[in-house]
Amino acid sequence: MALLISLTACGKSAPAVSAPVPADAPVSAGFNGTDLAWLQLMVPMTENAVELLRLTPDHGDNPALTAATTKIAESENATLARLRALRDRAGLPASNVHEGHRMPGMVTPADLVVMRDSRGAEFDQRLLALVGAHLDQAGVLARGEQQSGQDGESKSLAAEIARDWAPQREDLTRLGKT
Amino acid sequence: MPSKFALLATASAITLAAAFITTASTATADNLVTHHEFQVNCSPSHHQPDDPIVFPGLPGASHDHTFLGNKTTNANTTTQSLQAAGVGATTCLAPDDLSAYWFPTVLNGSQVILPNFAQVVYYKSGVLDYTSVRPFPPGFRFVAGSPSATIGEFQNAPGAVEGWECGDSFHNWDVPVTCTPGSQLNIRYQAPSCWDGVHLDSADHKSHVTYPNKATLTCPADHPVAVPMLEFKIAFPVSGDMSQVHLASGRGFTWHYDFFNAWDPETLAALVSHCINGGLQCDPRGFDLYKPDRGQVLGPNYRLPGRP
Repeated sequence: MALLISLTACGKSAPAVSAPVPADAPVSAGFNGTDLAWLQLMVPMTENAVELLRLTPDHGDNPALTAATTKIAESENATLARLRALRDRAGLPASNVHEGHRMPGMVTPADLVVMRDSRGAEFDQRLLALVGAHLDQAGVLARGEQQSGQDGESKSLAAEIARDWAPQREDLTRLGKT
Repeated sequence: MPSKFALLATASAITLAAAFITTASTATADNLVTHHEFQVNCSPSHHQPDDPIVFPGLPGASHDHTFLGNKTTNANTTTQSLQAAGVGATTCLAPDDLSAYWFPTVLNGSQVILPNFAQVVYYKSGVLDYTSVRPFPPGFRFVAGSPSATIGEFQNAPGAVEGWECGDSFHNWDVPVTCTPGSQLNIRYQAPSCWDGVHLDSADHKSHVTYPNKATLTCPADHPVAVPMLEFKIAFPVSGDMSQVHLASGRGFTWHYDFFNAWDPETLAALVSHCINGGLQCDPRGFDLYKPDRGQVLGPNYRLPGRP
């Protein structure tokens, strides 16, 4: 039977390696990897959603939809301010680490280009799809943050997002049927 | 006059020959070292929109990924969970390789295209002095390539090998428009192989590792530890009209992959030592077909001798 002997010395001295730093060591006190990933994803997602919702009053022609999305826009704006404050407290840079990267549910810069040129019923139809996908993904992410996050304030915000998701989604679904 | 290489190779061959009781003949034609690698072969396990490195604890946060290796990999995966999956909970041939390997899922329109045979991941030396390569520490992880790369960045990336290939079409930096019917779409991409020696991961999942200096093939002073250079070689069974073929992360130039080490340390160390440090071209058992006298690392069950 072959007996294996450890073969490390080949006449070369490799650099000494100290005990590796655990990968899940918190970058910022109180925030774990889930908190940081959630913040870095939610900030650009919400920023793009806010940009999109800003177009609604001028581009759409369904007053009921405009009313519903104006309410969502207020909520998204408030969420964005809190997300940015948490991101700063976590010591994360303001740069978007997901720039140019196709993420589920994210309103993309390409979507915004299309929507700026879109009007009326066509705009409303696209808006429903984009805002619906954004809300759904924000809900999925909020549940993950509630489950696996560590920072209390981040988890509370996630709980609020998860709670608001159902009524907002219901409004959109109802409007989509009319 | 023998080159420095040949001397090194001879020295390591003698050491290795002595290490194997079953090895009767002394290495003779072994002196020319042409390779310093072994390969692992792993079938697709599952695909889902998770990434335990970039989005830990956030199921559904990522674009869709195709996972090889450990069968339990999901958004909540940790070093401990990979290890706890238990010997054999892997789609790799070696039951002691509980590592997770993944890349963006390839789609044809909305149809998921999974590889249809065991894929090759090479473990090579990225540095000239292949005897200095040491195994990955448990829990070591990184992302190679970038999902936000432009076509130019992808083409000029230090990890780029030949871009996308199919049939006799090579050096495509996006998915080719057509591929000979029946051919497969192939990609090879090399990972950074110099480690800072301290951090198992970093905030961007890249900064703790880097590529060797291209001219000297040595690791830079701030990333002094040479670890195996992974090279994923993945084939996708899709051909003909490729106009709808894309990655879950976007265009072909967004190709990237992730590695999360959970090898049994003894098995990985034996393969690195025998095949990479020993200058061999090993199959997944740690056996070099062209240098059979050098023996092999793993038994017929792809495990170290003595393991049932």
